[in-house]
Amino acid sequence: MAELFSELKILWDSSGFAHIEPGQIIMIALACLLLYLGISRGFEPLLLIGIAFGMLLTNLPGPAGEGRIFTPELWQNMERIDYGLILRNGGFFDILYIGVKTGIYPSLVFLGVGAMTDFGPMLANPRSLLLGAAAQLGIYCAMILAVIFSFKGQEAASIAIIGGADGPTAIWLTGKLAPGLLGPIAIAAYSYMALVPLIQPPIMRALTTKKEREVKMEQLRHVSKTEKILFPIVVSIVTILVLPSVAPLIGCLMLGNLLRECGVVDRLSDTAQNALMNTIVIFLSVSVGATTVYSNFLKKETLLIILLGLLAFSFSTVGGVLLGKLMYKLSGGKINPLIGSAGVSAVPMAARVSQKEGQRANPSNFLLMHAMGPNVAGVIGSAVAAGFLLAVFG
Amino acid sequence: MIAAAAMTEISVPRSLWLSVLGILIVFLVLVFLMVIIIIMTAIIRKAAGKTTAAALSGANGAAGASGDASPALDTSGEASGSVIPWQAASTQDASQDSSQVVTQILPFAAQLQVSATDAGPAATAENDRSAAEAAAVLSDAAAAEAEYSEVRKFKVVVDGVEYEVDAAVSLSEVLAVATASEPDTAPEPAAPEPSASADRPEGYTETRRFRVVVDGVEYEVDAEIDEIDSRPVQPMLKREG
Repeated sequence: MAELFSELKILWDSSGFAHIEPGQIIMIALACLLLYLGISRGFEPLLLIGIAFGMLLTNLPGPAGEGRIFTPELWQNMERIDYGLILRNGGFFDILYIGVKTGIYPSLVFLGVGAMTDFGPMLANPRSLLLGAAAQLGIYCAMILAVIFSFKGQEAASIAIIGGADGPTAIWLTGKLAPGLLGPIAIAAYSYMALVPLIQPPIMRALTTKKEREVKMEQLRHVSKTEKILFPIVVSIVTILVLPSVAPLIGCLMLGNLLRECGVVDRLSDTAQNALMNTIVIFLSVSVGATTVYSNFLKKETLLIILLGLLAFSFSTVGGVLLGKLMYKLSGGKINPLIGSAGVSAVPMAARVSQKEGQRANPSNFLLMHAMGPNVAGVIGSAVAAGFLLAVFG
Repeated sequence: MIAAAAMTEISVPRSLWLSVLGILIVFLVLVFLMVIIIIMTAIIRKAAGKTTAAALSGANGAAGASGDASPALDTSGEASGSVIPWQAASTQDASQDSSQVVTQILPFAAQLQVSATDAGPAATAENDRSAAEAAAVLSDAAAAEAEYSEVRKFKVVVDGVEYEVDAAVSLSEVLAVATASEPDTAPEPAAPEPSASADRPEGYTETRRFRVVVDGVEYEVDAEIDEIDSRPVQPMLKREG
């Protein structure tokens, strides 16, 4: 009998139940909540489900040192990361996390995004680039606020980039500047992107009059194939010459777009849009989720990050709408300021919100394609902003 | 805890001017891109315009000569040549196809607009939307007609030597070339064959599916066509996506 109890005790000690801590229970509950939001409520399910499941797995306890799926200690010395040690001793998520740390996954996601994005609406109306720039206002407002709340420079920059409403860019910059905040920042960024239809409309309505929201815009011109092919080449040259640090993101985004538009490599374009994109999204999401170890996540800083992220997002919306209003005045009422809010990346959700709000004010209003211009310009704008922050704090 | 590399302390004033600098950099890059895009677009459109003008001048030369003995392409001192409509038949077919698409969409769109307007004060949001969609279809159709462009091969004879020339032509130019370049000696066009609709009993209708694009959204439209012409009646809009 005593032997049986002894065996049972060994079994108990080797199980996770013997090692579970209250923080882990909270994180497991949070992971389940995020899974629910992703599956039942459709909150950015493509990434949130992976992140939540990574969070779940990394917080399930086990005996120290054995079979750990993620080992945060291996990543502590960020100045001299021993990748050999990680490959020898790291868990499954440690190996996957190398792709986040080196910035490979976000760049490859951008390759797929580029292959899926039609920059035609932006080329048809180049002024929409201005709206894409104005909607980065939140990034810099949030950076000032983060500094006021005593975050360090790199942390403040990483938190601020949530205002760009671009998940891969946020992960790319945070992975380089403040990897310790990667989990909260990724979750905040994707959560707010999913909440765009709730966050943006009150701000849009508060800043515009009904007359402005009712404005119907002229049909966009047709964009030739030559323009679409030249665009990614020109953008790559110009942007990377100005900000070399942004080369991985912009380079991959534009390569993907060139694959799409050139029309002679349909197979590659298809792979970038589907197979490659899906594979990388799985790797990216679970490894980001794995960084949300309870000891790292359950801190007051996390709540602050979530609050600052919300402010960043809101300020970005304000910036886009205010420039939209200015363009409305300057154009003699031909530009609907609602399309300004779409400058906060979050493709195509933000453009859909502009369309919906425009149609709410005037049922015969169709702003979707007009809003897609600032929307895709916002992707470039947030990548440029991230490149600037990396150049300053990297 | 995953730690970052040496963290930088930053003061509030420094974060303030860094923010101003940051937003300026973003604007600078995107404004620069905007200017380049505008210049690039202008150059491309100008080049496309020149190609069309070249095609037009060729076509006009051919039209003026009623098919032959006109210097449409002057490549040498004594060059005299003519544009021979060696692809006339296929060109005409293609242009008819294009114009048919436009003429089929236009009355349909007009009808949509009228029906939406007729609803009067009782017009619902859907009616308003239908009117807007109809207007957009009209505008799309007109724009499609205006922007229609295709590259055609022309055979040019200069001093007995045949050249093949590629030239971009608009819809009206395609029609003009196809009509004007018919040689005078061309055989009388065969009497049009009785259309299939002539065999159909009076009151015959059939439903055809049309695709129209409104603000980038593609719609499938089922429309009933009667035996007299292809003017659609009773259009029904079905939104996709």
